[in-house]
Amino acid sequence: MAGKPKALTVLFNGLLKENPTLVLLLGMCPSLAVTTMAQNAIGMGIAATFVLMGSNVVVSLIRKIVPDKVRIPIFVTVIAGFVTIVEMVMKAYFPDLDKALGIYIPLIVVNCIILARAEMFACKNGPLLSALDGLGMGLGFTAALFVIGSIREIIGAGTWMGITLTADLIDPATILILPPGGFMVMGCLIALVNKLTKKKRDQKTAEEPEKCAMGCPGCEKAS
Amino acid sequence: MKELFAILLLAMFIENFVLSKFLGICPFLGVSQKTSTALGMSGAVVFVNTLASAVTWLVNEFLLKPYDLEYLQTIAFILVIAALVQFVEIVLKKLLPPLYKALGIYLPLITTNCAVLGSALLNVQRNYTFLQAVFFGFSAGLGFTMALILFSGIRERLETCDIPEAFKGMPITLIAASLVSVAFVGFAGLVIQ
Amino acid sequence: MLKEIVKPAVILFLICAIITGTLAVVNGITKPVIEERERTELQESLSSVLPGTDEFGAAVNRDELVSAGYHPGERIRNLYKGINRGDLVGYVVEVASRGYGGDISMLVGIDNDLTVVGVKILSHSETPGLGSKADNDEYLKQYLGEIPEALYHVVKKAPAKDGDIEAITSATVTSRAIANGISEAASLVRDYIRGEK
Repeated sequence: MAGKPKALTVLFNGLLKENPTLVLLLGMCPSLAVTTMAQNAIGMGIAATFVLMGSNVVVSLIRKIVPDKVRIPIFVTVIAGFVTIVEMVMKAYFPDLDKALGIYIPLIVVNCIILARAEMFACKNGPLLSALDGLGMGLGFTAALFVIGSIREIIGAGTWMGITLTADLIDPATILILPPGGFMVMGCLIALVNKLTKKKRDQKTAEEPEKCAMGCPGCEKAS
Repeated sequence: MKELFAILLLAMFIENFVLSKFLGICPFLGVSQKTSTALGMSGAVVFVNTLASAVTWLVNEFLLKPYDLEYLQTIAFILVIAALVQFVEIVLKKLLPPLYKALGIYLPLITTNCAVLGSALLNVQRNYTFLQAVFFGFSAGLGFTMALILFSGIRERLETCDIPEAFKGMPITLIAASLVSVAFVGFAGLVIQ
Repeated sequence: MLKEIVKPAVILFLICAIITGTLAVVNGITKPVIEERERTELQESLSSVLPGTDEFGAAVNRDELVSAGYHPGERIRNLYKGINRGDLVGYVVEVASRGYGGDISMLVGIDNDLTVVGVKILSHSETPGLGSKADNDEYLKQYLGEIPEALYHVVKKAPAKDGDIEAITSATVTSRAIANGISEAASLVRDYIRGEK
C-alpha cells in the first residue's frame, strides 16, 4: 500500500483484486459455516461489513495515541465492542437471522479479515479511506459469501433466498448444504478464480498461490 | 462418568470442530502440510483450549453473571484468551523449556483461533458445569488434533499427485477436506442417551 | 521504565472503559426489546397449539414438577396452564427430544379431555432435506386427537392401531424423537389431570 491510495481504488480493491475470501483466503470459518443459504450469507456479510467499517474508522482515529506495545489488545477490544453491538442489535430486531447464525456472530471477533485490515490498512491511513477500505473489503466478503451461499442453496436445497426453484422436479443434492459441500464449493470457486487470474499471476511470481494459502496463519502471526 | 464420555464422543466425532462446525479452519489449512507441525499445533490447541474453557467458565460464572454483565461475554472472553495465551507462553518459557520449544511458535497463533473462543461460547450456551466445560474444551481440542493429523497425512500424499493447474494449492486441499468431512457426516446420527 | 508500563496500561484501560460504556448504553436500548419480543413470541407459540385461550400460567419447570411428586420424563422442559376467562382449559408442554442433529424443541397442546389439539416444532437442527421433512403438518397431524392408552409408536408401514405413527421416509430417527417427546408430554398431562403421582 505504497503512496496515497485513491478512494475508488481502495473501495474496489477489496471487491475484486484483493477479495478477502477468494483471493486472500481470509476468514474461511464463517465463509464455510453460514453459507448453507444465500440469505444467511448476506446477513453474515452485512454484519461483518459493519464491524469492519466501524473498527477501521475507530482504529484509524486512535492510531496516533495507541502505544505500539498494546496495539493488538486495543484493536481486538475495539473489534469485540463492535461485534457485541451487532450481536445485541441482531437479537433485538432480526431474531431469525440471529438464530440462524448462532455462535458465528460473536466469532466475527476472530475473523482474520478484520484484524488484518486494522493492522495493514487502518493504522496507516485516515478515517475516511479506512472506512472505504472497510466497506470494500466487507462488500467483497459479502459478495463471496453470497455466491457460495447461492450455489449451495440452489443445488443443495432447490431453493434460492427462500424461494423454491426446482419444486419436486429434481431431488436436491443435500450434500451441498452439509459440511462437505461447503469445502467442495469453496475449493471449486477458488480454483475458478485461480484459472481466471492465471495470466496476471504468471506475470508476477509463480510462488504467489502458495503464499496466499498461508495468508491466514500469516495474519495470525501478527498478534 | 458416562456423561463425560458422551461429551468426549460429541466433541470429537459428532460435532468435530473442524469438519462439521468449521471452527479453526485457518490453522487446519495452514499448518497441516506436515505431520510434525500438525502435531505441534494440536498440542498447543489441546492445552490452551482446556485451560481457556476453565478460565472463561470461571469468569462467566463469578464475574459476569453476578453483576448481570453477560452482554460483555464476547469482549471478556477474547481478552481473557489473549492474556492467557501470553501467560502460558511466559510460564512455559521459564518452567518447561522443552515443551516451550515444541509448542512455542504455535502459541501466538491460537489467540485468533476460533476453536478456542468457540468452545468458550458453546460452554456457556449449553449451561455446562465446570467439570463438563473443562472436559468439553479438552475433547474439542482432541477432535481438532484428530482432524489435523488425519488430514496432514492426506496432504503429504497430495504433494506428489498430478493435479490440474488451477486446483493446485488451496483448492485441492479444500476438496480433500470435503472428502474427509463426508466421513464425519456419518457420525451425526449417533444418539447418545 | 515506569512510564513505559503505565502509559500503555492507562490507554488500554481508558479504551476498554469507553467501549464498555458504549456497550452498556446499547444494551440498555436493546435489552427491553429482546425481552418483550421473547415474551410475545412465547405467547403466540403457546396459543397456536392451544387455541381458545386468552392467558397462560407461569412456566412450571421439570424440577418443580418432580418436587410436586409427579414423574415427568427426561424430555420434559416446562408445563404451562392454559386459561380462558378464568377457567382452566388445558395444558401446553414444552419438550426437547434428541433427534439426529441435536435437540428438537416442541410444544404440545392438550385440552382437559385429554385430546392433543396442537403440536408445534419450535426449533431443530435436523439434516436439511431429510430429517427436516418431519416438520410438516401432514406428519404432525397424526398426533392430533385423543391420547391413546399406549401412547405413540413409530411404525414403518401404514398405521394399523391407535397410537401408530407412520414414520417419514429417510427421517426415521427424527420421527421417533418427535414421537417420544410427544408421548412424554401426553403421559405427563394425563397423570397431571388424573392426579396420579
